[in-house]
Formats: sequence, structure tokens, C-alpha cells
Amino acid sequence: MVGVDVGGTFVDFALCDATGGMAVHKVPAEPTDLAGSIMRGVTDLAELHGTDAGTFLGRVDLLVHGTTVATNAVLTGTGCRTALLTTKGTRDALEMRRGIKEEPLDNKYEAPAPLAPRYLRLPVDERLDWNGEVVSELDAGSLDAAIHALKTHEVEAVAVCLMHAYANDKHEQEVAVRLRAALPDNYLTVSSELLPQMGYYGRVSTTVLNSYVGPLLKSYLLSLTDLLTEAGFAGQLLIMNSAAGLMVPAEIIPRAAAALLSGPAAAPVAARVYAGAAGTSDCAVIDMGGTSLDISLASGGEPREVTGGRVGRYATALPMIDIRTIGAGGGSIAWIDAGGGLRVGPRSAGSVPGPACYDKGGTLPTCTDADLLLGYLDPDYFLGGRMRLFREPAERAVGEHLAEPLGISVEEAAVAAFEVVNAGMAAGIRDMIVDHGLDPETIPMVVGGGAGPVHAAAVAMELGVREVIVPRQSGVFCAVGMLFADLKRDLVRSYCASGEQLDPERWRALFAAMTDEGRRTLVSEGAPLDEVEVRYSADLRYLRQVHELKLPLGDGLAERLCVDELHARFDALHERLFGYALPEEVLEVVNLRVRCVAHRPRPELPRVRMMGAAPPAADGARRAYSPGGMSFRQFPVYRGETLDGGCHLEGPAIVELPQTTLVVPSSFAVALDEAGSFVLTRRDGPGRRG
Amino acid sequence: MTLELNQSARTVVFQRRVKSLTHEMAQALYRSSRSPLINNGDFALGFLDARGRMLEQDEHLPLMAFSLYPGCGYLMDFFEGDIHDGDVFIHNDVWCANLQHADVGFYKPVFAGGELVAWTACRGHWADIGGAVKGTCNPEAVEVHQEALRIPPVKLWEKGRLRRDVWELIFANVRLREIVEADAQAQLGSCAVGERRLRVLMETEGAEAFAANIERLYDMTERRVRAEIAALPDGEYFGESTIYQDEPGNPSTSRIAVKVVIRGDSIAFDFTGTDPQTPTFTNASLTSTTAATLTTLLYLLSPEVLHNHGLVRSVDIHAPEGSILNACYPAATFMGNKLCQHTGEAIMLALREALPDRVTAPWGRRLSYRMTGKDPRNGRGFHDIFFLTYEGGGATHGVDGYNQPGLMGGGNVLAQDYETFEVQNPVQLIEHEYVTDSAGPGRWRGGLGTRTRVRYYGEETGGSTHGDGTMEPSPGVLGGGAGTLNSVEFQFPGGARRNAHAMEIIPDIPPGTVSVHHGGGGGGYGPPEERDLERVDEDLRNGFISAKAAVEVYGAVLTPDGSAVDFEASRKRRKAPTSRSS
Repeated sequence: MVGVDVGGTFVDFALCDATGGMAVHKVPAEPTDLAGSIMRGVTDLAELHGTDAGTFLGRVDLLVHGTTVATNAVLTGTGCRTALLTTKGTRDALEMRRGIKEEPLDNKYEAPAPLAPRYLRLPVDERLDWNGEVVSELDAGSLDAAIHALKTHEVEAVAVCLMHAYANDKHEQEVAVRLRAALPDNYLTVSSELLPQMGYYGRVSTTVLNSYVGPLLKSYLLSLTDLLTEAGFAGQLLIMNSAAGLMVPAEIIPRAAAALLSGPAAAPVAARVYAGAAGTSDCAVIDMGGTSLDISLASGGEPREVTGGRVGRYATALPMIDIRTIGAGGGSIAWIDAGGGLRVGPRSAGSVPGPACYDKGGTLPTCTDADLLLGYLDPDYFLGGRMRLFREPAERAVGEHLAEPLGISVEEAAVAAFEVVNAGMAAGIRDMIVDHGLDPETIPMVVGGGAGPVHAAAVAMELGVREVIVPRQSGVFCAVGMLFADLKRDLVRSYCASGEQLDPERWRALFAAMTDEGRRTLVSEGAPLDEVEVRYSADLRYLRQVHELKLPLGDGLAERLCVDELHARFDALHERLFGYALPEEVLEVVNLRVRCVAHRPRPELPRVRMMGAAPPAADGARRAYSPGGMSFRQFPVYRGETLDGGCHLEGPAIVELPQTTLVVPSSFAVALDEAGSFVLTRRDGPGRRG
Repeated sequence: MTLELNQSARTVVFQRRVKSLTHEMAQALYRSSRSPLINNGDFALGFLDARGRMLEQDEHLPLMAFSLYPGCGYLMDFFEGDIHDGDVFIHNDVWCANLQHADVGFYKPVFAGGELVAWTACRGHWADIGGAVKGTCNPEAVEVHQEALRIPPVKLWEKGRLRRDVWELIFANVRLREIVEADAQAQLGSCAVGERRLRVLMETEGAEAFAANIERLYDMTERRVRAEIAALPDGEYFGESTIYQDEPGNPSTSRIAVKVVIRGDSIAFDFTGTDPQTPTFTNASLTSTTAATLTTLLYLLSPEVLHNHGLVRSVDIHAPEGSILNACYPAATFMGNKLCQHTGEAIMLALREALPDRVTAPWGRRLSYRMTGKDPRNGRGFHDIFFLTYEGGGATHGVDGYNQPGLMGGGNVLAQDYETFEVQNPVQLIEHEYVTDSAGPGRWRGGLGTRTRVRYYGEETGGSTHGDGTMEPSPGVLGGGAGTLNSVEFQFPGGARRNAHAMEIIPDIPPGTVSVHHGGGGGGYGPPEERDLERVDEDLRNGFISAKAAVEVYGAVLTPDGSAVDFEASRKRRKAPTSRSS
């Protein structure tokens, strides 16, 4: 089994073989030829196994892939020329975005450019009412005019989203039939096929997003499939979706918007595995790379999700993991504002020119420069010695831009930058944890990304987090997560009814139809029918409430509706989340949801041989900054690969790994667990750093 | 060797920590509030320092952010020597430093080692606060007593004990008691969370360092604000804005005048010359005017400026007592925040020559509209406010106006989703689109106006309009043109049509009636004939401007079929000496 995660700068591989062995690998990503980069990595992996790519691929049963093709198209505005066919009178909703201005105090704030410009938003004369009844029939003339415009403007992809199509897809289907005949090569998204869910703005935005990225994802996956097949791959290719579920290419191609978080969605899956190995099912997950910090959560062994969020600046109503990004990474630039305040980020030196210590032309001080000057990074052993760092340009950058203006030493300035970036990270993580109703003092934090383990313990101290888990494979974290994901299919149908209008027969029929469709899909993807787990839920609210809540429906409530019981369970959920319930209020149903899951056999994490707890001799020592102690002191340095399972070290210590460096302050101890993760625990009492 | 963390870094870290605590307070409020108002973010909460000054807050509505500290200052003076650990104060009175009476604040002192070290506070819009009309909005009010129960700062808790008598006194005067009481509990809970967290922070920081960090934070902020002000050109600048009270049979206008004085690193706003307060409910309190002024100033400074006392003390604001911007007892003030937009507009217009690259042209004035009636589908009542009828924002140097009331006019309220709107109300939304040629023309044009057509089929339906912009459109600046007017027309089933005033009650809307609501466009910036031809072409293609406007207003020449700009010919024409006439 191979997990492949394509990121911005690297393609990460995680390989798991039948004997429980695991290997990881990284190759640079070539943005214009990602499929080629994957093939190069496969060749490397084959070589590491002493064979050629063909033989190697012939032995791979399963290749799980997270791709950034869709995400990058959205973030860089390089998707396809997309048109929208929509009900006459509503075409501007996409651009109006429900009137929101994200930065109310910035009078030069510009809204994101709509993914279908207005001249390609074509009105279709038709109308359904709130209940799906036809108010006016589809006018063929308006559809002819729209098709003519599509041809004139040579659009590459079309989205169809008509008012209330979630309740009745008749008109959308009529439009789709005409479009498929008139423009057979066009990528087409029909809202009632993609997401039959009430909420026009969310649906139209998702439908357009889907068409905008669809053709790119399609051609990428088709060419990757061809390359793999040609090279001898005969196993199954599965793609990770935004909700951390796996889909075959043929299923995700028409649902391209479900691939928008394809890579990052694996982070909480991986975290769950490592946290599980360390004995807990709830955890926060951070992944700190070169330009940003991604934060996600897992609880009860599941990634925390949202239905409806944003990718880049565009709204989607598909279920996806809740992942937040803040501008704090190794390349984040430290600067002094006009009031004399030291700030770090959000501007980043990126990988080009990169931090000053790369000596590749960067002259501004970055987080990585501070890390180097604080003694955390070994200039001769960065990324396992694959890249040299230079102290002198880092000193110059920190000196000139921070130390001199503040009138302090270079070392003090580096400390200041380190503390400021940590405070920002801690605040972002804390906000996320608090928003999900969890307590930072009771959950561990799983850490990935190259820069993460340098800062993790200091951030944990700021947060009050008592346990930090750094997987040995933290540098290729998401690729590992892909090996542990399950096949998933999410379905939704809106059913707008309240109280006494709820029809148990319709309720049951909608759930049954979704279950049937989900099961069939998973079986067609190779899952045994009797192993498909079905989870039911409903989005409910009290009459006229603004927000709905998702209520899981166990115990047959989906098959046999009992309104009183539904009400009582919703009351209990509302009480738990918001501190009150309204048992006398009318209950409104908004959406019914089915998730079908086919659990794949989970690979075993390779076990590390458990030896005694006695600390080994250090490989050396260097002077480094002791967070919390506000001082520099000698840190023994260990090579992570040489440490045995069960080994226990008291801080201060630095553990160097090929892809990252783990900093263990004196207030922490670290042990290497059976799964090969470094588990840091607080030695002192609770409370935060002074 | 032990280091001292650099003070600059320590202060920045301190600020970030405190900010994060306000986020937690907001979550506590969200989770326990029952009212849609608070769930839509109509609140402000955060921390004041030991002297009641603005330290840090969670900001949903820019205006509300500046409403916490004035009340705290007032109550500290009033209760001097009588503030104890375990006290909680409640306050809403406009004459004791508040924005408006429906915004009710709770203040809880934080003590450490027997010393008052800070305050936690939460102010939120209550669904009702007594007065003559349910929901507090009483357009007929001519004095405060017809609007609301006045609560000058009162101890609701005293030394850890709830004063049940005070609680009952207040809630005996409030409608929708169940909902409002739950909101009050949620606000108290949020203050308690803030207090608990702040104590932990203080214990780890140490009381002395905590106090020192606060002072340094203000100094740092003030230095930054003053450095930015010092970069502005010295001078005295004048601006005005006119408020129209478009009531049937009783129209009136009031004028806001401002003199902005910039000298070195100081800035002062003097509203002398502003018209007197009115016998309507459109009068602003000084707190509201101060909030509007500071919010407007923030648009002119860089977005990273921190919002705390360091900002507040860098600015002088004077509004004459008895004026519409500093109304005296017993004026009615519920609609006073409407004036914030005009205050901002007057300041922007004053500074248009001095700060041409920063100011924003006037943005579309808010005209809101609400309906109420009975839904024939289920026999239940319905009530909704049309949040989707937005007006366009004003243009600024380099950027077209935002397609939504950008400044204080509307805040950041999420407009209705079309389908949900039709599911929840007995209406059909026929059209909701941008209007061609509605934006004030300019080198950068204003935000677009919208047209909203709705058909009603509810029973006993009535509506009311509320706002401005029906008499005068938003003007442009520095050569830019004006946007369009707001209007609401009712087309009744019999064929009769009627244009509503901006402040009018429409008692009877029979089934089959269609309302047509125009939200005006925002003002433009700079001469339209200097607009980038690419943008003219794009606007033409998208139908944001007509072919006629492209030629006559923007000085373009079009291709023979009139569908696109002929760039070559347009450049030539614009260079010609009489480029403005066609």
C-alpha cells in the first residue's frame, strides 16, 4: 500500500508492506508535471526496494492519493472558463455572496472575483416554488439563447443551478439533457446531482466551484491513471476527499469540489492513528510548514468536520474537515511596526528567496533564522544534512531588522521573534479548540511539518497542552494518514418540514434511497456489501432559528421516524451545546444525511523494538535557548533514528530527525513509544508560562 | 545567564494572549445566547483596565467595539470607593455613556491581592428593553421615556450575591422575558469566563508585569497611531452630510458639520455647527458619535493598528451638547446609530483633498424594509427584515466601491439565502440583481445598486420602511459621479402603484402585491473618463454599465456592434481636447 501526498514543494510517500514495514520518501514537486513527479518518486521507492518501477508497481495493491490540483486552481485563479445557467433573476447571488465583507474595517477590501463572471451567468426562464412545484415551465427560448452564448464564448465548463432544484430536479434535468447533447465535451455540474441541499447560495457556489476545477482534476487523474497503468500498476487508485474519505477517480471526477482539501484532510486521520497509539482519541493537530500553520482536530477518533466552509475565498457546502490556516511558518518574516511592536508574519519569504540562512538571496529575518540562532537547528544537519544553513546571513538579517531598531542583542531579538510567533500559533490553536468545545489542557497535540517540532513544546506551554506527540514520520504525516483512511460516500437530501407536517413515509423513503445509492457506490468501488457501515443524521433547528444543528440518528430513527423522540434528542443536543433547550418549540427539519463507510483493513504501524527506559549517551551537545527558563543552556543532542523504543529522556534535549528537529525544553520529558512517536509530557504542574 | 524577554515582544505576546481570551468569551456567549440578534453578532465584549480604559475586545460590529469603555469610565466615577470583588454592574442608559438603550452592558471588576486590576465586560443588543413598543424600535418616540427602561449603572451582584430585587425590577419591565433573561445569563457567563481566564493570565504574568504590559501596549499603539497621523498633511478641513427624515407629511433635514484639524501628530474632530437634536428618535449620543469617528479614523489608518486606549487617547473629539450628535436628555435616540454613516461621510468628504488616496466616497445610505403577517401555509406569524436589499459602497483610490454598504451603514450582517427566505416567508423572490448604471461613475466607480422584486402571498401582511437615501443619492468625490437613489415601490394587484417614503408604515399588503426595492449605488471616485479602459470594457460586457454610459460618461468608443470597447479609438478620443462631450 502506498500513500502519496502532493504538496506545494514536495511529493510525500508512505509505503506499508505486508510484513508491517513502513518506508517514507520525499521528492521535489514539479508544479507543471505533478503526475511525472509522482512517477519519479515511485521509481525511487522501487530502487529503495531493490527493484524497478514496473515490478514494484505490479506489487502495489492500493495507491491512495491526495492531490492539490483542485486547490491550486482555486488559490491561484487558474481554473477553467466557467459558465452558470441559473433561474432568471438570481444570477448575481454568486457575486453578492450574501453581502458579507470579511474585513469590515478595510475600505480597500476587494471581494474575490466570481468564478463565473456575470456575462457568463446566463438566465434560464423557469421557476419552482419552495415546495418544488412548478410555477412556470422551462422556457425553451431562454435555454437556446444560453446554449448559443456558451458556444460563442467557448466555455470549458458549465454549472447548472436552479432555484429549489433540491426539491425537484425536473428543470435541471431538462437543461442537462439539452446541454449534454449540445456540448458533449463540456464538463457539466448539475446542482441537484452534486448537492441536492437547500440553500441557494451555498449550492450555487459549490456547483460553480465544481465546474471551475473539474476539467483540471479530470485530465490530471486520467493522465495519472494512464501513466501508472503503462508503468505496470494493476492495483486500485483511490483519491482522498475533503472529508477524509476515499473515492475512486470515476466517482470524484464529477465531484471535483470534493477534492479541494484532498491533501490536508489526511492530517487528522494520521493524528488519530498516532494519538490512538498513545492512548487517546481526541487531539489537536498542527502542521507547520514553510509559509503557514494548518490546524485541525480529531475527537472520538473522527476528524472534526464542518458542512459549509471556504476554500481560499470561495464558499462550499460540501462536508469537509475543519481546517484553519494561519500565517506562521518557517519562512514567516519578522518585522517591527511603526509603534515599535515586533511582529512575525503573515508575510513569508517562502522557499524563494527563503530565510536569510538559506543564503539564497533572502535578507529579511524569518522564523527559521531565529530557530537557527537559538541553537535549535544544526547548520550542518538541516533536513538530515541535505541542506546547509548559514549562520552569518541570519545574524545579519536579525541584527539589522530587529536587534538594532529595538536596541537589543541579536540573540535577544531571536528569542523575541520566537516568542511572538509561538504566541500567535498558540492563540490560533486555542481559538480552534475552544470553538469546538474542547479544553486545551485535556487533549494532546499531534505535530507534523518540518518546522512544527521545533516550536511544539513552547506552543504547548503557552496553550496549557500537557502532551505533545511527534510521529517519527511527521515530515510526511499526511501521506501516512492516507493509508488509514476509509472509503466514504456522503449523501444529502433537503426535506423542509416542521412539526406535524413531517411525513414518516417520506422521511423513511429519502433515507432509504440515499442508503441504497451510497451502498451501491461503495460496492462498485470494491467494498464488500456486508461491511458497509451506514450513519444517519439530520440537520434540525427550532422554528425560525438561523443555524441548524446536525443530530446523529442511531437506533432506527432513520428507518422509523418518531417525532417526539427526535425532538427530545434535539433538545438534549441543544442543551449540551448551548446550555438551554426549547421542548415546546416547533422543530424544523432541513436536511437528511447519510454517510456510508467501508472500513478498509488498517495497516499496523511498524512497532519499534521496546528496550529499557535508560537514556542513551548523547551524540553531542549545543547551546540553545530554553523556552520558559528565559535563558540559554547546554542541550544534549540525540540522533532520533538511533533511539530505541521505550527510551526516556528528560529535557533539555534536542532530537534530530532526517526531516525535522525536536526541541524538548527542560520542563518536558520525552519517551519513544511503540509506534515510533516521540511523546513529550509536561513535568511541572499545570498552568502557563510566566 | 537569564534573559529578559524584550519588552516589545513581551507586549505583543501579552496582547495576543488577551485577544485570545476575548475569543473564548465570545464563544461562551454564542453557546448560551437564545436571541438571533446576539447570534448574528450584535454584541461587543472584552476587557478594560483598572481605570476602565479600553484594553482588548472581540469585534463583530465595529461600532460596538467602542461602546464598552465609556460606560465603564462612568460607573467607576459614580461608584468610586464602592467597587468590590464579586460585584457585577448592569447598564444601558444613553446619558451614562452608551450607544443606545437596547445595548445592555454588564461589567465585572477583576480583583487580585485585594486590588482592582481590570474589568471584564459584555454589551449586547436585547430583544426588548421596555418602553412603549415591543422590540424597543418606536418611530413615534419623541423622548427617551417612550423608548426604553433607563438603567444607569446599578449593582446586579454585590460582593458575590445576586440582588434579586434589582433583577426583578429590571425584568418586570422587559418583554420577551424568557429570551432576554437567557441573554443576560449568557452575558454574565461570558464575563465570568473572561474573569477566570484573566486571573490565570495575571497570576502567571505577575500583577506588576500585567500592569506594565498594559501601559506599554497603549504606548506602542499610540506611537503607531501618531506616526501615521504625523504623515498626514497639517491643516483644517471641513465637511458635511445631510440627513433626510423622509416621513409622509413631515419631511425634515438635519446637517452634520465637521472640522478636522491635523497638526503634527495630533488629530481633532470638531462637530461644531451640527444641527440641534430633533424631536424624533434619530439622535446620537456622544458615545455613538465617538464610536463613529474612531471607526472612520480606522479606515484612514493602516489595518494593523490595535484597538485600545492608545488609539482612543490619540484623538480629540468634540460634539456640541444638544446637537444631533450629542443629544441631551430627554431626546429619543434609538435610531442614533443611523447617523454614524453620516458622521463618517462628513469626515471623508472633509479629508478628500488632504488624503485623496485614503478617503472613501459616500456609500449608499441604508434603507431597510421589514414585513410581518400570517403565513397561509401553516397559519403561523412571520416577520423578516430584508437584509438582502443592499446599497453599494463608495469608491476609493485604486478600488471600486464594495457591492454592499461598506462602512457603518449595514455592518457585517449575513443577507438571507433566497431559498430559505421563501421557505420561511410567504413570498416569492422574483428578482435580486445588480442594476445597470447604478454605480456612481468614476475612475473607480461606486459599488453597484440592487433591485429586489418580491411577490407576497401572505395574509394580513404589512410592512415598514426605515432609512434614508430617497431624497439625495450618494455623491462622488474628486470628479466622481453620484450613485442612484433608494426607493421602494408597491405594485398592488388592482394595478395601483405607490412609492413609499423612507420612513413609512405600509399597513396593508394584499396577496399578489409586488414590491420593487432599489438599493442605490455608491459614489464614484475621480473623473470617469480616466477609468481604465479594460475596466470599462469589463463593466460593459458584464452589464454593470450601459453602452450609452460607456460612451457618454466614460468617454469610450465602442466597436460597431456596441458590445465592446474599441481601445484604439477610445484612447484617441480621450486625448482629444473635448473628450467629455460625445
